[in-house]
Amino acid sequence: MLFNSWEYLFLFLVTTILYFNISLKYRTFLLLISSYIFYISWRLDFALLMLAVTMVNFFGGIKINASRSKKSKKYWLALTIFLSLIPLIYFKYFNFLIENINFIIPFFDNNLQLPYIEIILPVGISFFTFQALSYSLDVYYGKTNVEYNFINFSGFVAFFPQLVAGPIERSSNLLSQFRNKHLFLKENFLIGAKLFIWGLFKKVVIADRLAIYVNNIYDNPELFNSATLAVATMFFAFQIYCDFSGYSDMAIGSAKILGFNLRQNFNLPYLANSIGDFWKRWHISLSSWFGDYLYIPLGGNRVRYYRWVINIFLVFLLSGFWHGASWTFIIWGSLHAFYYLVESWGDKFLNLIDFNFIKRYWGYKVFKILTVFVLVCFAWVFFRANSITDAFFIIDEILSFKKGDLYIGSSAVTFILSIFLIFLLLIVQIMQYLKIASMYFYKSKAPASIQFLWYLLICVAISTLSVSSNAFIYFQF
Amino acid sequence: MALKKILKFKIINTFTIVISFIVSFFILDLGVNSFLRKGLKKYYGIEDNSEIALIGHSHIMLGLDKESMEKKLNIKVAKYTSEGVDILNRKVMIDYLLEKNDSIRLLIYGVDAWSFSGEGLSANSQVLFYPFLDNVNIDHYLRECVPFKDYLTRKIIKTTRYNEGLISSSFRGYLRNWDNMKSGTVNLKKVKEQIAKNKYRKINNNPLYIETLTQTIETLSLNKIEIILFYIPTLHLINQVENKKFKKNIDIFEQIESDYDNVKFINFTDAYSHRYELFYDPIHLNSVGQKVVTDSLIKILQKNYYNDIGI
Repeated sequence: MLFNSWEYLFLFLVTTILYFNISLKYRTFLLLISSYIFYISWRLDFALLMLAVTMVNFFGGIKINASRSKKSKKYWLALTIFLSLIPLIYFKYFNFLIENINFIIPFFDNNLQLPYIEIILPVGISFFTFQALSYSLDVYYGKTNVEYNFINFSGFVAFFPQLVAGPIERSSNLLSQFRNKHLFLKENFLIGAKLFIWGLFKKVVIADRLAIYVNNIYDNPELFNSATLAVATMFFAFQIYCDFSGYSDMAIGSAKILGFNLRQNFNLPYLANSIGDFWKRWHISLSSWFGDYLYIPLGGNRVRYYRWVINIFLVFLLSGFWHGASWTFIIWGSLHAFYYLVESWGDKFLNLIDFNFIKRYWGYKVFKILTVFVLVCFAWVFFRANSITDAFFIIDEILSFKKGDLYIGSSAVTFILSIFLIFLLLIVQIMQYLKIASMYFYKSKAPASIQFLWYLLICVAISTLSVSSNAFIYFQF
Repeated sequence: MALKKILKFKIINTFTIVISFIVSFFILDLGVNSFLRKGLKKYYGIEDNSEIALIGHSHIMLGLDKESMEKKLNIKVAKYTSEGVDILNRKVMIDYLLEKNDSIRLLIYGVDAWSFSGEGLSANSQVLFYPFLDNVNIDHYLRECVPFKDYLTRKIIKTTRYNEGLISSSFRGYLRNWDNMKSGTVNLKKVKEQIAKNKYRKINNNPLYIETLTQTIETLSLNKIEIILFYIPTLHLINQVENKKFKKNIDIFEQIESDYDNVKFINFTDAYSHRYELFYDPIHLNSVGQKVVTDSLIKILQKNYYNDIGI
């Protein structure tokens, strides 16, 4: 069930109407039922898997909380993490492991080749596993109270607006909201509806359109020249942003109508002026997850320098691996770690030569925003390429600056429209940056009539220009 | 009580906003649909009482210059072509055109060696009929061949009937612009690479397509319309990949020509398929190619159809 489907609209409408008209004690149960209907629409057995992860963390949390010694707490936490990660490792990483073992075996003069298993990755498994784990970790660190109500906890893990592609919520934010009574508020409805419409526009009008060109080029990179590959990479940067942030906006908007506040997941990442800044703006819920549960427990920056470098690499590397079971994702994560370190060295160098005044000039800021964008695009090549060989080929081709006509795809209109939509997105983002247009829950400065007209046009653009055949990219993560 | 009153007022207020938004949306939807459909009809020449109609997919779309034909033949030409329309779709197009236009006397029907191959053309070319969903016959056709959910969506929200190709055609209809804007020349090296990698469209004849073409010809014959099965040249490199099948299908068109008095098969393959400079890609002509082929066709029409349709 996709957000841009009649089925979702129907489920959401029925859930919303019932939610605000039934007794408080049945509300979470209603949301749980809707969430499982939403998830079962993909596959029934995957819902059982989600239920298993929910139960492991529910009872794990109780056991961690009940343990008196630190050793016992640690034991229960380790067991909870281990059991929660088994499905994720099996479904997402098993074949990757086999692939690598098969690659290594011949070096030991052995012809044995392990067979691959046929697996379909359960939708959103990385998201609900990490969300459930965040609860157990928070209980361990004493950041949240243990939950004894299984319905509330299941509702937290399976909450349908953000179930399959985030934002990855924390128990301290979302779980407590299941205990509160939510009223139907005009403000919530309007903010939620606006977010949903804008998210839908980004997904079905921009991202899906750009995907046509990008898929065409990245599936046969050897057929295209430098300029075409560079344009496809830039298109992919906007495609993945619109796809993922569009989905997050729709999730946050749906939840807002029901009275729930989900975390902001994207904050104009392509206007970031450093790699560190980019990661504070891109997939914020995942970055902060790795920050809170991996980087800080490893010692963060309060360790020796070489350990800090290792910590940084570990966090980015695992972040890459979380996105997909392939070396391309690992390289993508490592590249960002490398950027991060180089940037910190650059800052230190500017301090050393007393050249910090340059940071005040707007030209330097623009230069940094553009540099960050180019570096991020460079890393996206690994993220999108079908193999490492393809990724290196694409980079080699782009950097060779070979001359040739730019391939504009099967339709010039689609290409021109794609560029127009990217410009439109950039203008809106700049207006959001300047707080003229609304973003997340912030109010717009524009008059109500202009907003009414803007969202009306966006709706007509969605109905006229949507490309509805592509599935959400992030579903497979 | 006060809180309840405030909430009730706010809910009514929200309800008013939502209703006015939905009503405004449907009014705008109706207006945009009406505007776009009118432009499309102009582009296809559906209601302009043309005497010649060009029917086909992108080969004909890029291969024949309607304006040049109108100018040199001094006759109105409707160019009802869309990307990826197969023989089944074209039957619907012709039926629709004949319903709207009873002055057609000559129909130029695009054919090629892949005409009877269903696969590899377009998975869902029927979507090109969505703008004309209000027509009973097209409504009936689409209800049978598209998923009900898709059909219903297009029925309720009219702007969902368009894609950028159709929107572009609509605007071109208003601008009266039928130009072939493909200016590049085919990259022979790339074509050879693709053939070597087995990345080319295969010729696989589907009997249903052959039968449908025959039915289409029968319908046109009943309406006393002259027919030209017109082979817009395709690149020699592509033609020879499956040479035997290619020749077999040419034989089928020649056989149809001999079976019907009102059918003529014009094949420009031998004349132009080696002239690479005329092609944008292996199967489509560029603007230069379009001019060359159109001029040649015009000469044939002037020579052979003077008595029949008064050219």
